[in-house]
Amino acid sequence: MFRRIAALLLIVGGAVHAASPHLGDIEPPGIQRGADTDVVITGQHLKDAMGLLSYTAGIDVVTWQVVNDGKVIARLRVDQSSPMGEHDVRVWTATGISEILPLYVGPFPNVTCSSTNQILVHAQPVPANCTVNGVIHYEEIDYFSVAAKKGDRITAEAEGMRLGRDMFDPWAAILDANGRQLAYNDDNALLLQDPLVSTIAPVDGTYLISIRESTWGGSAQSHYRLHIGSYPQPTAVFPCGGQAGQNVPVTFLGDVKGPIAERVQLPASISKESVTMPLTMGDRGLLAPTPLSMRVSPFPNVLEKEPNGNITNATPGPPPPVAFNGIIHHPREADFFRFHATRGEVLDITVYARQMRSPLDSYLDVWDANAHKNLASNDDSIGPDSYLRFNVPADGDYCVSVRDQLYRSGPTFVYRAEVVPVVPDISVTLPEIVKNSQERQSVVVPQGNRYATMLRVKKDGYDGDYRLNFPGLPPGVTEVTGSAVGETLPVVFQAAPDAGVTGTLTDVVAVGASGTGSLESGYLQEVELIHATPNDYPYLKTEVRRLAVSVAVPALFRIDLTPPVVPILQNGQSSLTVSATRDPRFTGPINVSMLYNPPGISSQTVVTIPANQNSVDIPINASADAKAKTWQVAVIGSADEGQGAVWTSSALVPLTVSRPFIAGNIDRASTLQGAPVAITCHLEQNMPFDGSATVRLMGLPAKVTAPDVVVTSTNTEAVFNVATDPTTPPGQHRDLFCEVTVQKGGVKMVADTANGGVLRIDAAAKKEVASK
Amino acid sequence: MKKPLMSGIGLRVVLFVVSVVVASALFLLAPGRGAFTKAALQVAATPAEKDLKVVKDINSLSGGAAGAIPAVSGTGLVAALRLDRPMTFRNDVLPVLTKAGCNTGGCHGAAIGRDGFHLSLFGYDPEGDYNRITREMGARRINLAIPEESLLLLKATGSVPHTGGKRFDPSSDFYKTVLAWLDAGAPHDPATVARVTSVQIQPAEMVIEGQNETRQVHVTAHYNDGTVRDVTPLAVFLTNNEGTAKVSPDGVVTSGDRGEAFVMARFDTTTVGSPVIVVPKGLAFTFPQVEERNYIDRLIDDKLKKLRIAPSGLCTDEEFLRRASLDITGLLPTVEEHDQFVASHDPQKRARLVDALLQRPEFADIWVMKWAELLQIRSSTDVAYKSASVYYDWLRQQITANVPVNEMVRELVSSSGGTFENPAAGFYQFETDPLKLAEDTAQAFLGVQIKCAQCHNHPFDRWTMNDYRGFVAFFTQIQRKKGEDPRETIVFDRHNGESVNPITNKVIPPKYLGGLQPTPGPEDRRQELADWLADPQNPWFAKHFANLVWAQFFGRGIIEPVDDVRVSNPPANPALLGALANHLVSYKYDFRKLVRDICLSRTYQESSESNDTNEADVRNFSHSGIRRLRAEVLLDCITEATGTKDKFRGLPLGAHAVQIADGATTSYFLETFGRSTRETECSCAVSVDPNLSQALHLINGNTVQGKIENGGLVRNLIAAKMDDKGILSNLYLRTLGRLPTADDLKTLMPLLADPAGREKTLEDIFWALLNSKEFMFNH
Repeated sequence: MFRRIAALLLIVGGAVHAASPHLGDIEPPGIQRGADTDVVITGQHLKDAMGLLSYTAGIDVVTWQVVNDGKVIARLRVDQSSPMGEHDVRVWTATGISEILPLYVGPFPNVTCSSTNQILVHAQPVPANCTVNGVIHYEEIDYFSVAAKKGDRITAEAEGMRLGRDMFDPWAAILDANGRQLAYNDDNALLLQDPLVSTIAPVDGTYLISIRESTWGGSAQSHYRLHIGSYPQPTAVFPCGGQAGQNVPVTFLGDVKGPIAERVQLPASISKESVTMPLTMGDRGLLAPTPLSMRVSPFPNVLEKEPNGNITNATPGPPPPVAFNGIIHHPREADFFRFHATRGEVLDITVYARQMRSPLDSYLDVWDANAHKNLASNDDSIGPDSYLRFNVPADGDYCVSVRDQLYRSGPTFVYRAEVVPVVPDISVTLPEIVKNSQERQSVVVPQGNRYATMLRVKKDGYDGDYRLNFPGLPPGVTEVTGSAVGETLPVVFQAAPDAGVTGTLTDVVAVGASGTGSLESGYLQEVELIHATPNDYPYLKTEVRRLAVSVAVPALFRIDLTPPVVPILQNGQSSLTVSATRDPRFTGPINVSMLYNPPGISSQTVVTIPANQNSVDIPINASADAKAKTWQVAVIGSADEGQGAVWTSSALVPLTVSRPFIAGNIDRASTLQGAPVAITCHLEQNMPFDGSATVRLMGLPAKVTAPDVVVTSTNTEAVFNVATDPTTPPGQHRDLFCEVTVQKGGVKMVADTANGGVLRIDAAAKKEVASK
Repeated sequence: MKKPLMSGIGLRVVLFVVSVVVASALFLLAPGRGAFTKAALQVAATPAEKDLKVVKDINSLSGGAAGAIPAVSGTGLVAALRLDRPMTFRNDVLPVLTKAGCNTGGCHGAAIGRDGFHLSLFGYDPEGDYNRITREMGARRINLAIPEESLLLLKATGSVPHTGGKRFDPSSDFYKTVLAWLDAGAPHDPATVARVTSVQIQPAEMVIEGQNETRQVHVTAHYNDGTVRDVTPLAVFLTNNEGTAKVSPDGVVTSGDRGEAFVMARFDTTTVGSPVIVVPKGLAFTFPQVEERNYIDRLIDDKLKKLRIAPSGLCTDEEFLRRASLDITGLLPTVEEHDQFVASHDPQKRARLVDALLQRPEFADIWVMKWAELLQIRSSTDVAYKSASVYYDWLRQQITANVPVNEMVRELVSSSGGTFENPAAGFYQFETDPLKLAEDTAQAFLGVQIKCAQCHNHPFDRWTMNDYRGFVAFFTQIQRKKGEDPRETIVFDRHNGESVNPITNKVIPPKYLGGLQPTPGPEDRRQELADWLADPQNPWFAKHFANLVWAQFFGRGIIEPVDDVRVSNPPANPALLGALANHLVSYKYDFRKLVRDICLSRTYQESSESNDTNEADVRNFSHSGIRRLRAEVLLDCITEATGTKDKFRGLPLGAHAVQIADGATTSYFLETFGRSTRETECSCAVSVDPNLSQALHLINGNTVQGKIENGGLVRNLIAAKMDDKGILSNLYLRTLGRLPTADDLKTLMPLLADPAGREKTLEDIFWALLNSKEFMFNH
């Protein structure tokens, strides 16, 4: 409701022509659950900012004040039911959608870091169970002091790298009042590069918490949220999964005060596939800021029964689908699980360990339980986690075993191995368009205009047709999909002129129908948030399951692609005509390019419709092996209307690739410098054509000419009367070929043929000079 | 595992007697023509050193004769023996080629051979050499129908043009040996051909009075079939100091100038050596009455007495304070520390000073830096700064916590896991080539350089290609993968992957240097190696680290360079090195205690001023050496003296250059003054050699002048109303650790007569002090 008011105010103010916004920061980068928090949103092109798009429920905008093009002040309210931890948000404006930035939700009130706590004696006093928002500048260290009673838990946990602001790898320590270090931590499996340090207060007193970059780096972008207090923070839960709908006992592990038992009610309404959900632990009313991960599966759950260190004493389970759960407690330990499978079954066996943020670096083996024979192994097909697809060779009992790849162990080395018959799947995503950037990873359709993108649709265990549904598109927005190009699919979105300006997150569903039944798969987009050395490695990623789509105010231009009236011939050239329609307020250049090039087709990357001109041709070429087929192509266009690039597209139009009418083969020929020669090109008529065709001999050396030859679809050869010059360079000229031009309806179709023709030119004999 | 040999005089006496007895008892046969069993030896008389010469004479007389040969000792008896072993290529022909120099690096032993004929360098590949001589080039190198016409002999005798000229005469034993082998059909060696197991040289050491005196050395080879053979005519002789002791091709040592030399003999794959001391004849010398404070002084004095060298007297308190402060902490003593120390009348004040300095964190800084150099901690395109930083922090924790050095090395070598989670695994992150890892490990932790043996047997040491490949085998099963954080490397063992001798194509199982093999098992090979390195019985480890510690306090090792331990580079004082190593082991590898022993010795506390007897001595620690401060320490001292602060990456303002974690951290000053870039484990990476850039930087660069200005020390002293003499004293104390002498004051005071230019003049004097040699050197 609040968002709509803000939007209305802006639209009443008239159309603005800002490009998609850039979301630089949200300060503070985290907010307390169940409370209202004022945040400052900074970035670029924010003057028409309308509101937040949150991928998780429970974050509402209470007030929204656009201060200027680079700043918005908002009051956010987080519902008490909202999960702890990372919430991915975007800002949407009247002209676009920003990139994703994580916003953290925590259990504690925020405290602002002081500017004078960089030395130990000036440690900033903070209350227990608060969240400090601070920044570590280069080589800086921040100190905080907190009171604790003997036996209290003192925990400090930082969100640094996870905030997605900067390549910032924090390090934290707990010190006693004299500065003696009691505990420190740099990284741990649960928090990636972020630290979690926890100890039990040995005496009543004041304790110090320090935080810095692990190698004494830092910058103005090195934001952190440091949770300080007596709260629990387990790092693992066992089992880390269960069957949907069940109320299961679990043990939280890794907290400094030891294991904590609780019961968890798992949701019953999940799809037929397993899902991962966040699980927050509380202790005496204090909640852990970082949730753990719990798999919820529709199939049975089996817990290991020690001892299960070999095939003989393997923990038994039902036939797949089944999930086995265990902990690698001891060095060199391996856990074995037994199940029965039937010949011909194809099983996906996946270990969930690091995916659940367990320290375990899994190694998976599959065994024939009767022959005690190893059948398959995997170390790290899914990051550090193991995965393999297992074809059951015969009816019988099989075992899976899980161990640490380095034979490490620990009380939090939990894992879950899911053994599941292969489920046909179609995955849909919007891939990265600009390397290491979120640019155009959303859909922004100007009113009365179009926007095109390529979605990646990957089929696994499924070979049938499918269609894409976009059930949550804003009113007035429709989409048209072209034919698949390998694993990609062109999609053109169109907004009606009267579609309301709005921003939304929409589902994308791939619906397939195979012989075994219908298939529905959702959308999953991986977003890379932080890149750094080595090789721009993506240190922080997030995954979202809805596509961001907005209807923007009208763009000041639109582009149309004229459907070609003739096909492009294999080994031929053609061009596509793009026309532009401009609003009188805009006269600038428009850059256009192909949304995609069909296989075998190449085009100039970017062609510009110059300022004050209304059309341009995009030259395209077809290779000899370009598939003869009709494709649905579109062009996309961008123009700077004054505040950065605005993108639109044409509609999809058919582009046909055909075989050439004539193929040929040039006879070898030779002559002397200055002497004429006839070169014959033998013609092979592939397809009849009306009228005549012009055959031009190409690739001739300097100072050699050959008139074109006109042929009809009945000619079998073209003979070129080639003239040379006394200064024509002698030698073997091997690059001769023919260019065949056929006209249809006044449009030329050009293709090359007869490549590799050879003309040898010998030096003319020297004239004898009379002796004196 | 070998136990350390006996040390000291007793050992030498025993070795001398044994050597002479063996030498006297040797029977002499033509080269390659015979052997005898140990049981055949009968010793009937007590020989004297001069008997050796007689043995040499008999050796030459007996050459070439076949069959049973009577051998006669000058004073004793050697039993007549029978030739009972057939001629072999490996044991008879190849030694002749080696002795004649055919297979040296400059001749056919070059990597590509010479003039179309390639032999393995010093005969490391007998099988290959046999094939090349008898099979290559259509076998034209030998002529079995007319052996004398064999190209091998024609070339060697210079009968046909030969780039290498004439190598031996047709009448020589060498010629006869080769000819006899050809006569016999150039037979291929049986698989059971005897192999050399050890080589000995006698006498084990020599002290020669006067110039142009001669001594014969003898070389005996022991074979695995139990036979022993005098191979003196076949051994290649070398000396490391021609001026003091020359050695002829047949093993006659001729004394030269006063000094020390090491005479070596190489036979088969082994090099052995014998130290030679030459002193003037009839030198009137009385060793002075000096205090022996501990075992170090006793063993140093033993050697000095032998050399007829008198040690220098003790250094002054001021010198000691400055020297010990720089050596132990890398920092200059403060003015207050100077005043307090000089004023103290405590007879134990030097010991108390050493104890206090050892407790300072700067002591750990120095050794963390030295270890960081040894372990090559340095970021690069392949190794993230965080990896280097985490590794360095681990190292600092180990040294600060006084973890025994053998335990540190045990943990490093056996480490597995992620380099962030287990920083010790960083040991395997910087170098990934198993060959280089083996070389680096041997050099860093044992001081042994085995690189040569990668391609051929080590020409000046004992290491064969199989030794090399056996040591490499400890590192061939290491696997690495990137961690979840790409800056982290996970090190683990894949339990497969072998080391292969490229000449024989045979898999060489893991073998410790020195010959022993670990017990075969499924366990990590590196754990076996780590345990061997850390074992007190390890023949090199403790000595190497004792030597490293020693070198820090004397500017050179007892073996120098410290990481070039080899037969041909013997320790200057083996007994001392052994004693230091034994003490280190008895201290459970707590090297602080060894540092204490060293610093409390009279030897360390001697003056750098020499006397008539020791002025030429540079390797026997008869007086304190004068050592330029290494780059990091020099910069820290300039910074400290000027009262300024430096800023280095990852360190707070005011940290010391010795605390730099990453060898890739750039610093013009440090690079100019030769700090290690940590790209190699070699001790040579640290340079204290002077060059023009250093002088120009100190004089014209911004370091000294900039720090004088930024520190404002002179200004502050003037503001404190200190008089000229007081200020000069302060400047002298904070730079040179002493007060200005009367001469100094006489020169300087007139310069300060003009009050207008007083501050500038004092700054110039400060500048001059910081540019003085006395400042830049520890003395």
